[in-house]
Amino acid sequence: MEARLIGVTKKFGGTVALRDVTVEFRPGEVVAVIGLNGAGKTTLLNILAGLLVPSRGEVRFDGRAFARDQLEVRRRMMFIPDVPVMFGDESLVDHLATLHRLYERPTANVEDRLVALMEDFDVLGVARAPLGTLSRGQIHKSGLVGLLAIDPELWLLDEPFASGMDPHGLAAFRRHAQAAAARGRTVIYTTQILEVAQRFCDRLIVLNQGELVRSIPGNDLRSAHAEGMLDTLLESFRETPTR
Amino acid sequence: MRFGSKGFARSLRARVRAAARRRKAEVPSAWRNSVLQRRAFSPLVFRIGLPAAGIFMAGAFRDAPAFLAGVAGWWWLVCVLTKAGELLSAKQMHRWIGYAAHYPMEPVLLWSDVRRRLAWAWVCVMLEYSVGLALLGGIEAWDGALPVALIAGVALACLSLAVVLAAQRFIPAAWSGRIALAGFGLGATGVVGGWLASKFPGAFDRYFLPAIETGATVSPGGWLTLRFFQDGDALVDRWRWWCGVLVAAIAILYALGHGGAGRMVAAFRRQDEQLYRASESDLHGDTGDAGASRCTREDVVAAWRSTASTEPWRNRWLFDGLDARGLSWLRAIWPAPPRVVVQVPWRVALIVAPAVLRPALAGSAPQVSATMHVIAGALLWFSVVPLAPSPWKIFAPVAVGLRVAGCHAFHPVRYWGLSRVLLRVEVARAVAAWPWLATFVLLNLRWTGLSFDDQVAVLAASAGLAVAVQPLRVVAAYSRNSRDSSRVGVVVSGLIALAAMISALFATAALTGAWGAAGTSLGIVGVALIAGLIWAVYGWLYERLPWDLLRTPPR
Repeated sequence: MEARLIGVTKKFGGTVALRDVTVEFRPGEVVAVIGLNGAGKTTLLNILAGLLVPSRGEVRFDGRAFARDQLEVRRRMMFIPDVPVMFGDESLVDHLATLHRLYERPTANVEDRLVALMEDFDVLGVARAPLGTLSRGQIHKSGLVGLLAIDPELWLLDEPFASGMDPHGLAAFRRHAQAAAARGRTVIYTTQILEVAQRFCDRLIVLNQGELVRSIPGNDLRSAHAEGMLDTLLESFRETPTR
Repeated sequence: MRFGSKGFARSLRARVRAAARRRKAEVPSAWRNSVLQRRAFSPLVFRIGLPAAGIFMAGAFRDAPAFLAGVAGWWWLVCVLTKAGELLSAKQMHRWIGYAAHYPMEPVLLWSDVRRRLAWAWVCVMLEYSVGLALLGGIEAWDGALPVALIAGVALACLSLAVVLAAQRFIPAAWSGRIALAGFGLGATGVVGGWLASKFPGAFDRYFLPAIETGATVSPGGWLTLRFFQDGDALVDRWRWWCGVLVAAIAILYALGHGGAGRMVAAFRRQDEQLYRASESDLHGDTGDAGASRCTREDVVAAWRSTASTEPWRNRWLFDGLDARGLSWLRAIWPAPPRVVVQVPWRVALIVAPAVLRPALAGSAPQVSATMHVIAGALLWFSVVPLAPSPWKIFAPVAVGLRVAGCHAFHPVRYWGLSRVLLRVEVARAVAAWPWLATFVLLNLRWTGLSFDDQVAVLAASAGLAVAVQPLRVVAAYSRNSRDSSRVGVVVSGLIALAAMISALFATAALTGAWGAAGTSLGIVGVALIAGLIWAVYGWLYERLPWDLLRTPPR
């Protein structure tokens, strides 16, 4: 699924969270969005998901202007915020059933796949416990199991590497995300951890104070000059005066 | 500089502008957020709209100043109670408990905070009460509805503004906004209502007077005040004192029982349990509750097959929270929703209390009898409000609001589909809660002197209304959890608020009219039509206007 932001500006009152951002996300791409706190990373994901409406500019999916009442488009994407939105008294099994209904996915003969996903993320043992009783990492793993069960074309993930998941869960997430990209899915995630972004993305997008300042191919990040490039990036953040 | 001169006026204007600039700088966007950008359809508007409608209709009766006084009394009684309760809200309690658990904080500090808030609640109570007394005094002395409505409206608006300006440094911004909005709404509607009443007095007398009387009989606040004015002859010298004691007592009772001590104890318990669970899992490497009963692959497959076939999506809100409270066995046998189940006990106690106390006290002094009437009315109000269909609380959404907005925002669901599901659930809840409500209302209606047939008619009308107004609950739930006025500017926000107020006005008129026409279904049909219209218009706006679905505060 191709996603494109064209000249998107988002204001909250007098604060500009995103400023004239134009960027394209191609199918089969893993994109990391980095930036300091308040850079506009989450706002960008919220706009892509249709939760927020741009103050100016537009969002296009597969070349078509997006409005949030286009359910057929929304069924092709899923957004997992930093704290996944779930009903605390529902179990993971209930959650998956709810998602299958909302995203109009078939529920027959999917048990083995769901169980395999739960085992992958080590949440099978707690699959019938109320989600509200799980730890933060387990809740995030449950959210990822839901996402993988639906297998949308566009993955939007806010800070998955700061979600409290254990190394096992993080490794499973990376493995599944890479496999999804290989299947043509688009994976967009935000992070503040440069080392993670450096190792795990096809493209790095840098936001600073609402502006898209750099777009760096993943290969460049892993080249011999990468360390110097990242240091320069950090320096540029420091030098940018706060608006 | 001479008072009234041009120089004086210029100087005054400059001072006002400078003060406004200072104010804006000191309170960045809080004022605008709380007052101007209030969500247009929020329950607050209905809270304003209902008493405003009361004043409006009361202004129509040139020969009923007592009723106007009653409506005014109703308004500030409810305002006072709501305010006192919210000052000690559960959310605030949880915050305190959280601080106490995570920081080296002595419990005594918590209690000092509680005392401070109680003191504020008391100040608010007394302020509102004294204003109400002044209003009542003025109304009693004035023989004319139009000036009364005008004066009452303007006075309330001015007073609310004064309260805001005086107390904004101490009261949270949200509170300031509520007070100001309530005052302005009331004042504006009072003025408009008074004017309309002067234009069309005959029509209102003919159509609304019987409805008001009957409505006041079942509406706890109106009933309370009507009874007071009917039985209160012996209290001419003392009623103010009694009323003061009553209001204060109820406020404190409400604050302690509903929003205060009980919540605090419950919150402490929950916190203890969570800490205990955490320490247990640290010790044993468990994963909280879930670790105690790890399920197998076969369990999961079986659960999936049963869950996926039972449409948890459609059923989920009906028995919401029952399992978490360890009451899952009630699902099978209990006809009422869990919210009712868990809230009933202390309200039952409140209902039973006057039934026991009144006969014991009635014979001792006439003023005790009248006072007990008032107390009984207040208790009726308490008992009816949380259960479902009251003319007041019916507009306040239950906890589904966040879930609705969350679901709608994060998953591909339309307003129409989701709100239809919600409507079914809400109607089912209202129907399920009805046995409780019927019992309580019948218990209290015994004191009104209505015949049994009339009582049943009133109950039937109320039941119909409870179902008819459910669309408004859905609208309120959506509005409460989205920034539905954040992108449309102050003018459009104001227009929407005005439309909401007018809707509330007519809805209230229809509600009261329906009660008056108990035994016929015309009023209820009218209410259903109005509520459905508001639901549909809001949905249309919700799907089309560029509203943000997240309540992200401006940074």
